Amino acid sequence: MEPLVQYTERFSELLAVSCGTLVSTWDAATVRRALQWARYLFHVYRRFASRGRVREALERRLHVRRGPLGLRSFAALESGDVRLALRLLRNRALAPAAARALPGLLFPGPAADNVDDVPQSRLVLLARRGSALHLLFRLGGDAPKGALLRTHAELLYARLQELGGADSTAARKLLDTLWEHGPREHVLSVMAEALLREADPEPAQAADSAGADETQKLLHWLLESTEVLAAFCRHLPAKRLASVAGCHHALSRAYLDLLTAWATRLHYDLQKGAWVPTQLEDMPWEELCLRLQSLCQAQPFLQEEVLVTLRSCKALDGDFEVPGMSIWTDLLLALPGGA
Amino acid sequence: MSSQIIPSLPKTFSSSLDLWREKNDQLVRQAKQLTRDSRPSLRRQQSVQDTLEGFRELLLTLQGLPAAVPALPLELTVTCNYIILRASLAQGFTEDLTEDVQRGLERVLEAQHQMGSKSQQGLKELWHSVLSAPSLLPELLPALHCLASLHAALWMSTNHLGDLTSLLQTLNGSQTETSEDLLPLLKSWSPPVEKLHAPLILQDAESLKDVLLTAFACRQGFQELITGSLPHAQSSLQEAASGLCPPSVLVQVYTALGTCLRKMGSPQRALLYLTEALKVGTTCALPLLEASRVYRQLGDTAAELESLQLLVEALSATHSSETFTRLIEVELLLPQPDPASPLHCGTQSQAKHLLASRCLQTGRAEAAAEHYLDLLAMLLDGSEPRSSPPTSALGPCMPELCLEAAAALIQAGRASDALTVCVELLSRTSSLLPKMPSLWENASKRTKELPYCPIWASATHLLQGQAWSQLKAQKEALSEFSQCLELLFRALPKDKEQGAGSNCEQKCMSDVSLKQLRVAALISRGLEWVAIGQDTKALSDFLLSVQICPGNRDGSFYLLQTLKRLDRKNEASAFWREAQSQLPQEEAARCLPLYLETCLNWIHPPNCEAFFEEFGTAVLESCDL
Repeated sequence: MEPLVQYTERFSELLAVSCGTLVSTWDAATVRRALQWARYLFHVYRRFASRGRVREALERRLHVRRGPLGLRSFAALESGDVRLALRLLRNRALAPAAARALPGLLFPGPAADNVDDVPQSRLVLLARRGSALHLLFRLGGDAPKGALLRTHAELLYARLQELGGADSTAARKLLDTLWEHGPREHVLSVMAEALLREADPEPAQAADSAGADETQKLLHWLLESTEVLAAFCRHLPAKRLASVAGCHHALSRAYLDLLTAWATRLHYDLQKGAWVPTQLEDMPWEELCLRLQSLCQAQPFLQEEVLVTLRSCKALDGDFEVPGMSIWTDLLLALPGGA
Repeated sequence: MSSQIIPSLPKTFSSSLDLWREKNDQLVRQAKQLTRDSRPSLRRQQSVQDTLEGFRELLLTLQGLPAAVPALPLELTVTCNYIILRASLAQGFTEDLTEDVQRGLERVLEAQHQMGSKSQQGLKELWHSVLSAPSLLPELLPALHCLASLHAALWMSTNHLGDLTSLLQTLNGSQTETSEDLLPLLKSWSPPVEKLHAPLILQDAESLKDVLLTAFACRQGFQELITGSLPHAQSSLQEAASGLCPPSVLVQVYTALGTCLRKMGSPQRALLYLTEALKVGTTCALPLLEASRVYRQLGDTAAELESLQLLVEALSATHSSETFTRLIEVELLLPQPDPASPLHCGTQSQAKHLLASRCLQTGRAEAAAEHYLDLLAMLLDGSEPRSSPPTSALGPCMPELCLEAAAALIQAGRASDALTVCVELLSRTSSLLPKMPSLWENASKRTKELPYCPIWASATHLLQGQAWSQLKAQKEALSEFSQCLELLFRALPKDKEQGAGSNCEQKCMSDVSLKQLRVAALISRGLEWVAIGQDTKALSDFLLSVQICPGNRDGSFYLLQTLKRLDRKNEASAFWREAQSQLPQEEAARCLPLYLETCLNWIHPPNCEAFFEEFGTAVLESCDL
């Protein structure tokens, strides 16, 4: 097992190098050996894919020594050769002699030993996907942005599906990685889009079940992380948040709890006649009102939940009716149906 | 034939003259009879009107003939009688007198064939021409002096003192007289004595001179009293008192002398004059009002309040009609006292308010509460005559009376009644007040246009808060204090240029008062926060009160006390050092409405100075360590 792990690590390093400028020193023989190495790992995948114990042991080792650009899972071995080929094909730094030898190595022709070893079909599929993603990234506007979010949401769900239900920590780590390294605002938007997928009609029952499972994973992770939840509820637009909250009761509850917590950080400035933040980073009154109003307008049950919550807070705060004494009273005055 | 006509003309004229004289004498006797009859009745009023009409017709008859010297004494006498009766009936002199005087003088000049050379002369010139004429008949002098005295009365009552001086100089025959002091001129004036066979006159020149002399002394004394020339005022008033002074004027003179002596620092001698004024017996309201001021100066609060109580009772009595002993009295020449004058007595409601407010200021809360409730009932139920204004321009306006009543009730421990008064005030004036939801909407939207709101509305909520605080209802108290503060900070005071009602607010509610009102509301609410254990909010209110009014001792006290209780000693020490650098406010400079002054007394801590000394010592000790 250990040599196999070492081979995998070396190949990960090889993949990393294949994107850089070091390939300018490669010759045809080096390219041939790299591709042979990739095919060897492909054979390993096909041989042990159906054996759970070996797969699990290998994945544990891969995760322990995971690098930033390394292979993420055992399943990645299946497409290692195709990824290497694509990277070499796209890399302009590849030496001319090696570049001329590459097509012959990838497409040997009728004299090949085994037809199954030829990666043409898999290469075409991966190249097409990459082109599509590249095209989507270059587009602008709302509709294409929405399409981009939906695509990223689907990719996120696909990724979560790949990780399966056997190991729930894998999904958590994936999401943690996205949050830690990705553009956070974009990640939040993708997550919101993913959470809204449940509202879309699904043709198959199995798909619904699978979607629900991924949604629960994502929701669970979001609710568990205080930092991410606060950022999610603070930075996403009010209307979008209200839509997401309307689909998931647990999230609406958490969202409302956060809003009420933020409300307590405002204090009334008697001379200005307004509720002002205690610190600069606190949410201002106008945004607080806007978010609560959006919740009230999204769903009737959300409005009821908001009003019940605010009225309960008002009662605990002394049940004052005069403006300027209790922020709950003033929020209720600002909300439709709250007075 | 012609010789027969000429002798008959003088005979007929002489007979008519006798008839007209008889008519005049009859009317004079009739008028004097009516004057002695003190019973007021419609018949008497009609009889006086008939007598006046008789004089008018007689005068028209006489002036319808060409001016003739033999008829002038009678004509001038009828003119004087007509003017006297008309002035007496109207209780004052009017400008019609000028035309009558001018007509009479022109007739005299016409009879002496001097009118052609001096046409369009003024009255001063006319008087000079008539009195300085060498051909003036001696029998005309009594009537002319009587007419002059009536003209002098008009000029005195209308404050034309220059013309009056000139006339008196002419009457005295001193054309080169340099003295312009009216009192010596009046004294040196010697009207000629009426002859026995002269036509009857209602009031002769000598009698009118006495009236003029006393009236002028009174006028001058009152004026000097107001302007602060107290020694001169005393001299003038004593001159008036020593003259022929009717009882109703004598009361005023004695009271004015009492006022003069009080202001000169002789309250005991002032009381002697006031006692004499009360002995006169015609009306005791004015002396009682002045007596209350004297007792206040002496520090005798019980006597002061008793005087005010008697004043209220005196003003509630129906004024009995006075006996008309003479037709032209001194009162006709005296002006009505200015509301700012110490001789102005005011209405019963004003006296009631003075009594109530003094009770409140001197710690008699129960009595004050009762008096205020009586006053509100008097004003709101319309017990007083509708013609009299509820309050004068110098007194508090109606809402402020309600606030004073509420303050008195709270002071007396009757918080529920105070709330009733406040609720009644707010309900009766709801159209003047901005709606709280719209007020809040404006604040939420940061609208620049703020609604106008009377200051007394904010004060009403302040007093309601105090009442709820007394009833231990913290939530209601906090709500009222907060509503008061919202109005004070969100709404602007009523525009001072609008309406006469704003004059009261402009006078009562200065910037200092507005600031003190805010401080009172903030400290009151802060104390309520302390009562329910929310010291952080209390601190915020106390701190804002000190920021609004730097150097405010009460706010500083509560702020330091709360910081000390919360064990935030460093902040307390820092604030103490900062507060020491600020000068304390001058208490004597503030002139606050009574309800606000009362409210500030409630929140004033009794151990304020002792706490400051102790705290200062502690701070110094900590510095030494």
